[in-house]
Amino acid sequence: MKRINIAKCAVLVFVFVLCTANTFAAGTTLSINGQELSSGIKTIEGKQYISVDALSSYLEGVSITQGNSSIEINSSDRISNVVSKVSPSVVGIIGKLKESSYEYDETSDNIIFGTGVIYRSNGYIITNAHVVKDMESIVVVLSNSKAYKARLKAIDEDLDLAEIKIDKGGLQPATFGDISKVAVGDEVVAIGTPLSFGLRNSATRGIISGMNRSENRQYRFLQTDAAINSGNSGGPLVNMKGEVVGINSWVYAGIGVQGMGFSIPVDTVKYAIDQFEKFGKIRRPYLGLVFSDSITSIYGLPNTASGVTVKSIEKNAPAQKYNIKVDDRLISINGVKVNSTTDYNEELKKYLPGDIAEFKLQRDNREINITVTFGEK
Amino acid sequence: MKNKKYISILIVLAILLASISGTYAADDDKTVIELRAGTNQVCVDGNYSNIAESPYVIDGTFLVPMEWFADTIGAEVTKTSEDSERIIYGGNTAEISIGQAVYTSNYEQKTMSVAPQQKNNSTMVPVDFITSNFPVTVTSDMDRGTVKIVLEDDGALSDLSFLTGGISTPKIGNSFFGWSLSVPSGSRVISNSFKSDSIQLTNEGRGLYFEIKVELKNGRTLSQYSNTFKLENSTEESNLNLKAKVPYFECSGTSEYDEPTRTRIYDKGQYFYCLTIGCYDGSVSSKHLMSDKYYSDIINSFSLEYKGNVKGIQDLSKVVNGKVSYYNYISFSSRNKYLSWSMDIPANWNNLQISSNQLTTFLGLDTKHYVQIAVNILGEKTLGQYVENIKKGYDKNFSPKAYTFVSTGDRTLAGATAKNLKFKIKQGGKDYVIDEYYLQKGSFIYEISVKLPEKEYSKAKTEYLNTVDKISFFSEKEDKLSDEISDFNASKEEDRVSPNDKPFNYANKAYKWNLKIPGYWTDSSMFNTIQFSNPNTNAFIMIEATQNTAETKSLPDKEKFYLSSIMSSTGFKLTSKSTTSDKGTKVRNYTYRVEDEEQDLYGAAQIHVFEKGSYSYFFMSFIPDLTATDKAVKEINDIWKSLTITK
Repeated sequence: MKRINIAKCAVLVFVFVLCTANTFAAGTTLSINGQELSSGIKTIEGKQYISVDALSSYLEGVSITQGNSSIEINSSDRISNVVSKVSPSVVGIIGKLKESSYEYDETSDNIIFGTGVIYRSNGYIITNAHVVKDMESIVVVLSNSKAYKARLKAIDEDLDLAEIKIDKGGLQPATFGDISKVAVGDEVVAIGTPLSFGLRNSATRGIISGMNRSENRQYRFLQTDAAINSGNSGGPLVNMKGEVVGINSWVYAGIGVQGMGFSIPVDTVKYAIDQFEKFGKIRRPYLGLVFSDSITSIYGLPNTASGVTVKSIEKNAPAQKYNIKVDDRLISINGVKVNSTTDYNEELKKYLPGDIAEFKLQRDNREINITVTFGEK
Repeated sequence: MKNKKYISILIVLAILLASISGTYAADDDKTVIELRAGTNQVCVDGNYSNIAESPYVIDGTFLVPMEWFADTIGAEVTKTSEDSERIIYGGNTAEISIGQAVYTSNYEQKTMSVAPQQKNNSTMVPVDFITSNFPVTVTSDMDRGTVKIVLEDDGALSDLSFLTGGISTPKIGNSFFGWSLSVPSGSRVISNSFKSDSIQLTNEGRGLYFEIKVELKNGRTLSQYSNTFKLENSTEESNLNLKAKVPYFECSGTSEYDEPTRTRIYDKGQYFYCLTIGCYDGSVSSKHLMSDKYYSDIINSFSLEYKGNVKGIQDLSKVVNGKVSYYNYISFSSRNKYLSWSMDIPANWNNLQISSNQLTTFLGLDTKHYVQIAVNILGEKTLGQYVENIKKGYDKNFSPKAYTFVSTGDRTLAGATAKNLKFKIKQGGKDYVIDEYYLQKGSFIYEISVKLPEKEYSKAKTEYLNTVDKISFFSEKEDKLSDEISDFNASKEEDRVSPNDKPFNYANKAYKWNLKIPGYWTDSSMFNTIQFSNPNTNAFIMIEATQNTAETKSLPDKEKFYLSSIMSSTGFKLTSKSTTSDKGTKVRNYTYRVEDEEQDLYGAAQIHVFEKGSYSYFFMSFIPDLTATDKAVKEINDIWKSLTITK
């Protein structure tokens, strides 16, 4: 009997909602900072109304707090709003340097630290591989200053990313942004633990100075002028919506060098998290090809010739069984052009060992198409 | 009528929710979870949400969704197979399987009241499993169909001293070496050597550091030790008190970083106990460290009566059941460091600094009682071939006067079949047994060699072999280490005087000398000093040339050269000297008998000193007793004979 009543009530509520919705005009769009907002806008009796929820998710750095009978909109300090939004998801990571590390010094306390980002409410944290690679007795300190023992779950030194876990629920995970919406000039904030563990959750501001920076490394980076110092490693670079767009990794430092920080782009971070969760490691497709980057690529000049040259093929590598020779130029993978080792590594993020891809190679002015099946190292 | 029913449903819902919401933890260490059988609405810390699978009751036991519970408190759940899961929380790891009430918890078999069940994507477990494996209190109310799970402690750390080295007791001590010391509050340990014979503390609040070092006396008196200490350290006022109950030496001074220090060295039993207090923030002078009551009280609190298990004293000894863990790392560059093996060794053993080779470690009482462990790569050879080559090398290069082969055979050691070579050697008139074991682990060869005096061998070998038997090998980054050892071995080849073994005409144009030296000798040069070594016999030659000046002309041979300090060093005893005409000038010849226990060096050294042209020359040859075959002695004499000075 009760079940029938509940079902009837549910039908009544649905009809009521439909009736109410029908009184609003459809088709009105609002554009905020170039982004179109079409849902959450209503016209009632000729006046347009915007839902507070819809507004809050589109206005960058503006905090909107809704109470029972109050709505507070705060745009006076966008940076502090972003910092207060992200800070609960940023952790300090501290531990002892392993004796196996070359930097271990018998006469010092060997305490090292870095930063991390909570990405799951049940205690999963992403950080740089170089922060935790040589760390033992890993301790995570939350923004409320509570400390928990952590364990290393997965690490990939090539990506410079690692996953650690604390046994704590109810945490606030960070929101990850969309790399396709990140552009040079975007205002960003870096949050971390620069120089001293006592300075954890320090924030610095800057802009995205460049995208797709390879700097002769394995993968591409975001470049930022937000001040990043030792200990910031593993911390987030966030946009004005408080979304993580990168994980701060390394800097150029030296006399005369200023504001040259590099962050692992959020799409690479998402790729690593996905692989860590599925496989506990990065399952990298492997062929055993070693490339030599062109001088234009090394100097970052515009590419005058396409492709990247095969320098050598590793012994007993999967590539040995294909018609790939030293000095061949790899032009594209499944139609996507590659001009450097970094391009190759970035493209391979789309594949898993066992996947098949079509390689277009250039040899003696001839083009050759080869279908390869990736192996695994 | 319809409205009435709607309201009544709301009332029922309100009562239902009220009945499952209780009191909530005010502090965020606690998590309060409330569930009701048959409903998917749950309450966590007063917040309501819906879960995928409702709890239910079987045989009077509540079953709750494991994954959701784990997620709520932050436990880790991993599928290990289609029907099994591993659940980790804090120090607890449980492995459960669908349909099986028996499970493992930290490798111990346990049974839960009802076997886990699969409901869609959720694993339903009985609450008694939750109680047994998580720090929770569970209250069930069967009549109401509710269960309340309270996670009392979320595992937040209240003590970080394992990280900072913080000391929470008024005193520290070392139960193995038997000392204790009062330390100011806020002090922390910054380093503690592998056998706790060297401990450093700091007190950031007071800008102080403390160092407690324990050293074997090795036959030295406190006077001798304090004189050496004064020579090696910058000391100011000092006091040697031999009449005290425990004799001590005390001095003030400055550290290598120019910081004021106060040191007191006690002489008790077989050890010297060296306690230093230093100030690094400039707030105290060494004079104050000596005279202020505060610092004197700390120094005077040093006691040599501590045996462990005293309330209020933190025992910093790493000795467990008379043993300490030694971890051996190999490093050839600043880029990499490899853990190759570890061993629990008796606490009275030391890491003897005999070899400068990165691959070889000596652990033992002294240079007469030790085990030597060397790592190498097998390459293309078999273990049998490898050991056969070693044996051939011994037969060829060892002198019959000092070497007697005993036996060869196989023995199980450290879980592997090891090839054994046993032989005797004479050193300084005493006989020693060398018991060598060669075993293969992965691509590495471990050369384990026990050296003991022959008279003690049969009794003492058990301790050494039992210790080695429990060695642990590590194979992380095996390929990389193997490559680096290969490069290291190849680099030794690069040091050869010449690719050809035949005598090579070696000319030193800067100091106008040349000689003929077999091509397989190695050459290591530094400034005006050149050293040649025979890698098979460990014989070596050192040559130094220095420009003649009015000042150097009048200096005795013992002071004239950088190398001539060797003539005054411990273990070098002059047995004869002569002057001969050679190389077109007068040559002063010195013969030394070398017996240096500390360096494990026994043999004969010939030193020739002469002046020719604008330079003075120092030529020294050394050949160990063990490899002083007639052939090796002739070879080294031929090199001296071939030395000519050019114009």
